[in-house]
Amino acid sequence: MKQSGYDKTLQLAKKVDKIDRLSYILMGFAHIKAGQIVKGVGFFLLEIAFIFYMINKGVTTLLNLITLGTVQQGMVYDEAEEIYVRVDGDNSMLMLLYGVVALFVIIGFVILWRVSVRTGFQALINKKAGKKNPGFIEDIRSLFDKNIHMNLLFVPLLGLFLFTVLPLVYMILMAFTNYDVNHQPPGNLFDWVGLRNFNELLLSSGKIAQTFWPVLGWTLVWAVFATFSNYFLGILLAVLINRDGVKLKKLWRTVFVLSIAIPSFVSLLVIRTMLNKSGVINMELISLGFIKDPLPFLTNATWARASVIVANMWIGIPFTMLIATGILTNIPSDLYESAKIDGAGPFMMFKKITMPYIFFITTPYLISNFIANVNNFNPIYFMTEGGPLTLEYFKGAGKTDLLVTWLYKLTKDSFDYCYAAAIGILIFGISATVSLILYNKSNASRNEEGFQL
Amino acid sequence: MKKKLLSALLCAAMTATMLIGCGSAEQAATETADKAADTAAETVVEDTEAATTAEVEKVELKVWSPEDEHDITVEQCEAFAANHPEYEITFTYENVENADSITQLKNDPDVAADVFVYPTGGIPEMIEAGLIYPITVDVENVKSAYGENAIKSCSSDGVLYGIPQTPNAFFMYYNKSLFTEDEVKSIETMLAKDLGSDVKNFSFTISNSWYVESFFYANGGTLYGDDGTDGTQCSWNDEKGVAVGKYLLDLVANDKYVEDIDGIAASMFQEGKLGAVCSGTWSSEDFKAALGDDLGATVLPTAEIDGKVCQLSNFADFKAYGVKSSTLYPKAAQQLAEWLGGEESQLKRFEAINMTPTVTALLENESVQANVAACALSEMTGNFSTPQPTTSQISQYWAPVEAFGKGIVNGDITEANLQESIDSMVEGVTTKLAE
Amino acid sequence: MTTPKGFNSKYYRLLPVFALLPVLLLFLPYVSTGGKSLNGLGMLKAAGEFKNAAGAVLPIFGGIGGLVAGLVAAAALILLFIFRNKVFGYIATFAEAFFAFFEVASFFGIKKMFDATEGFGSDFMIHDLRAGFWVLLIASIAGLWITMAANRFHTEYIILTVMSVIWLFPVFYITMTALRQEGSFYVNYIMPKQPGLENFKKMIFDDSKFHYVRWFKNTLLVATLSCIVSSLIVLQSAYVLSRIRFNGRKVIMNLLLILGMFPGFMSMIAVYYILKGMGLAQSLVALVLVYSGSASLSYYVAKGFFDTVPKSLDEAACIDGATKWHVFTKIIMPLSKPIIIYTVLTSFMGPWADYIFASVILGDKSDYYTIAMGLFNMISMENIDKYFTQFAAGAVLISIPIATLFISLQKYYVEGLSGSVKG
Repeated sequence: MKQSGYDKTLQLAKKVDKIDRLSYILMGFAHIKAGQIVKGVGFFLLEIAFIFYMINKGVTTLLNLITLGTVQQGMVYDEAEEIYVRVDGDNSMLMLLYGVVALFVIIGFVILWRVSVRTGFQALINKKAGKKNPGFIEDIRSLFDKNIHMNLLFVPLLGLFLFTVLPLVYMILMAFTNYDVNHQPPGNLFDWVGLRNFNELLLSSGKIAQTFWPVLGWTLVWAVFATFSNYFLGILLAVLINRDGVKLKKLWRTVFVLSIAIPSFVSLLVIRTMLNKSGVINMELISLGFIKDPLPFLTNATWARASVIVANMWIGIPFTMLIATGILTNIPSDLYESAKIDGAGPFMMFKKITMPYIFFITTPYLISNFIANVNNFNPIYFMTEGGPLTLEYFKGAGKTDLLVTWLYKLTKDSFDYCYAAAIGILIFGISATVSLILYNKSNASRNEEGFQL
Repeated sequence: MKKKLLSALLCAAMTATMLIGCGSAEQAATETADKAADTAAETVVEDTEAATTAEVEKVELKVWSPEDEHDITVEQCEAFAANHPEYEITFTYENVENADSITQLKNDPDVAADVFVYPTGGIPEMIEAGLIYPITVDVENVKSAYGENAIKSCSSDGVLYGIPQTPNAFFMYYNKSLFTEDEVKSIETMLAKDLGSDVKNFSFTISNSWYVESFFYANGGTLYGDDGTDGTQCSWNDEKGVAVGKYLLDLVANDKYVEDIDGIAASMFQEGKLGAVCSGTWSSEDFKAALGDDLGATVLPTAEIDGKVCQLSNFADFKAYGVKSSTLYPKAAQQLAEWLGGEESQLKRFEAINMTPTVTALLENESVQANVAACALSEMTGNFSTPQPTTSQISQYWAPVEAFGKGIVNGDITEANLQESIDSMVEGVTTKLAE
Repeated sequence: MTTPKGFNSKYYRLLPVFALLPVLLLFLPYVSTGGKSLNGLGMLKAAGEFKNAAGAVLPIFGGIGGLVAGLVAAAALILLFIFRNKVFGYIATFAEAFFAFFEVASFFGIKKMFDATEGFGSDFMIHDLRAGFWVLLIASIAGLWITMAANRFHTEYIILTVMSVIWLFPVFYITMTALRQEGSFYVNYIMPKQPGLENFKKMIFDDSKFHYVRWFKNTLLVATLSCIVSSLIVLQSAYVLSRIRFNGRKVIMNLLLILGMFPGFMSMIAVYYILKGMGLAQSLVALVLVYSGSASLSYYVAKGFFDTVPKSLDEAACIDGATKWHVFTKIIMPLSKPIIIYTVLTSFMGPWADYIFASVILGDKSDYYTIAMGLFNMISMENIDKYFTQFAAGAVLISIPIATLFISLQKYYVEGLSGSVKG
């Protein structure tokens, strides 16, 4: 059985002197005793800094995280000055955010503490056994060799924690508060409400639940269509361009790549203006005699859904085309040659060799693409803004809204942050489940079989 | 330093009580926080007192204005500084569009402008979030200079939250070569006139919830009670409201009507292919350039709903100068807002960028009288519009009504499901999500 | 009938059908509307009755051109059968291509032609077309296809041409809008009536309301910096996760996978306050940090690429006494040109399109606005009517450098991406 770090530390603790266990409280004590002065002092200073932070701010911040503020901002009239005087209140939002920061500081400190105890004990044991402990310089040097992962991952992970993990925890916690349009800081306080938001979204009979399920349904339909239409047509396009003997390969590719190179919000807005009721497509169709009345590309629910899927193809197919182009050049040509000898036509070869090969290689891409489509904000927001709006849905949600665009509207237009956060968590739940199942399945089949014809 | 130590000790003690019993911790926190608030209030009062006794007060004010108004705003701020030798003011300016100012203020009140322009429809939202300062300095004098609707729109519960800068509403432009002054008084008369096969007669934006209320108000409907303060009331699903719905369905079906989306009405109007269009001062320059002397402007027309002739009445919305609640110099900021919204500044702005004034005395001014758009706008907002409701529930108004308007225009709403749709809209407008 | 050399026999046998079909079809009914009915010959006669020839030049040209091309194709095919010479095959293909093109063109232009014809009026619609026209339309396209296939030309060109037209149409439309000097947002035609570069000039040189040059500089700065930082982050984390085995590697990889699934909007305000706490909010540096801070989430592609670089290279170097740092910088990096370019390219393009994060982070500091924010402002409710054509010019202007960059580095992009999915 694998030892957990905790067990390991306990075992180490048994091997050192009683007095050395002082480093449980005084971090770095063991290091200094074992001769690693710089490291020891470093640990000790960090401990001091932590204690200083906790006394100064940490404790209040944590308490605030529990209460989310108790004093409401107010105004008191000052007769003499003919003026209201503002009485500062608590800002629940900032309290929540700083509370999360404090939590992270504490978690970080606990990890640091464990590392210090374990490495400290290890150093003492090493010293006892007569082995030399690495000095400061050697530690630094190891960061470029044996421990290069600590060095190289430090900045990426720091960035990740600051700009993704920390805000994320803040968002997750928000889903358990009543931070909605009626509880806006700094004027008002919001508070913890437990699972209320989830209950309303999923189980209640209210309009918001009547909106959630259909929107979720369309999100999944959209993700399936958007993913597979782009995938298959992209591969088909790549195959067409890469057929032996087709000339001007680079030119063809360039034509399609243009749609990647133009910032997507520009091209989507342009497509939107083209599809409008009085847009150029309707006008041309009318003047060419195809239709008498404009087609409701973006104003009828079914039409709008089809329009966004098609517009998304315009943007997405070239991506798949590029990926598939790379893979196609890697397909072993002997596969085709032997198939040709067996008398297979081009379609047969596409079906039996090209497609399975590409499919086998791109499964992870396909899965991540599916997840990306669940969260695909741009095509929907810039094309239809979720519309056509409908009275069947909770305020502001429309027939082409994905969960993610609805979430954005909830924060931007109606300020119901807590519901938006709850939806965010639910989106995550769906994405994580789907991708874990699919990844495991695809990995299992990959490892067991490999690509065989 | 002593205070810090004390608070640290307090906190430690609170941690201890918390460990013993969570219940008492909350109470303790409330108490300390209350105390903290008291002391904070005291210090603020002391500060302001100190300020009045000093000879020249140093003041730093940040002002937001839209890009178009930047130069004139700077000029007027400097004029304000010259008028107030008791302050030594350092101004900072940033360009923020009016529509974005509330969002920006919400994001981070600390760095927001002390004085800024906002659409008065945002007042309930800002009060709810505690972001805006009540204007009290010399308030009675200030109020008397403006029309009743302007002051109502800038107030909530009788407290003034902004100085009206300009009306922010739409009225009707018409093409004098197609319609006479009498014809444009009624939608029915306009639609009945034959202007030729490729010319449309009248345009409106039913699919916009800032426009469509005109018809409901016209037929005597009320939104959020009679005075717009009761968030649970909306009469639009009664018989009269359904009659309005039917009227809108007929209007959309009329071949001579154009729903103004994607700027189509403006474009047709400028080409002379549309008789009348409802829009705001933002279109005035382009229209003037296209039509010249043929351009007429007037108040919204009447509509014959269910056999009764009703005057359309839109929201009386204004743009106003406001002061953020977290300003460090409330008095100076209020005075600046009052100056910027005052008569002299308004006149300068009218001369420089044609902005319609709100000060009643200025409306008599000859050059204002000569500007058709300004006259139509001030007459509309002064006499025919309805002040926008001031309940914070107004934030729930926009989406359902827009969905209703779009449903009418897109054909999803028909006579068959009209009552049901209006009920559903009213439900959306009046329900609070959760307490 | 034996197939001559150089032809695909399967399709060659079908050719006679397509040589005769167009001629026979002239006698089928083409159009019936308003009680009138015309066959192909009648259509040609009707062409003489145009009221307003100017509006119908293209359709007439299409109709007559189609007829001529169709007859040439038929003649060439008959000659081909007689002389069995490949040259006639080429001529037939060429003529069929024109034939199909003209038929499609007249399909799109036929309403204009009838609108200008006595006795039909302006209520002609496509569904008034009758069997003769439809069969001819399909026959011309099928004829092109079959002739190309029989001649062993690639029929892929037909599909590729159609798709290219679809793909280029929006690009064409926005370019035409940018060149349009008249009108406002809404016009009901594509080709500008007064084409010119006025919009581009205004966009670049008129600084009174929109500060295009400043936005461009800001975006370029942010894009360059954040592409440097995020490329470094992506490459170093991908290298570590591909090459080094250490405790917690799996945890970090799963974490990175999962974290990418949360929608980012919710946490924007938190990010803002974190940056504010660092004293950086409302600055371009903040924007760089936001764009590159979470770059490690997209480590996957680069890791896939590194996985395909043989491990034996590292091992050999280690035996020679190189540290892992050296392996990374001196061995792996020089081999990874495609993936470096891929990473640089993707992270460089991000800031040009983002407007949501930028507007929260920058707040009221309009001096720092980026191009996406600026362009987005131009099409807000108040501005769109007035500035849509200028917006189009602005959009075309930024698309040119980015598209050039992307297209010239396309090769590496494909290599980097495909190298990684191989893993």
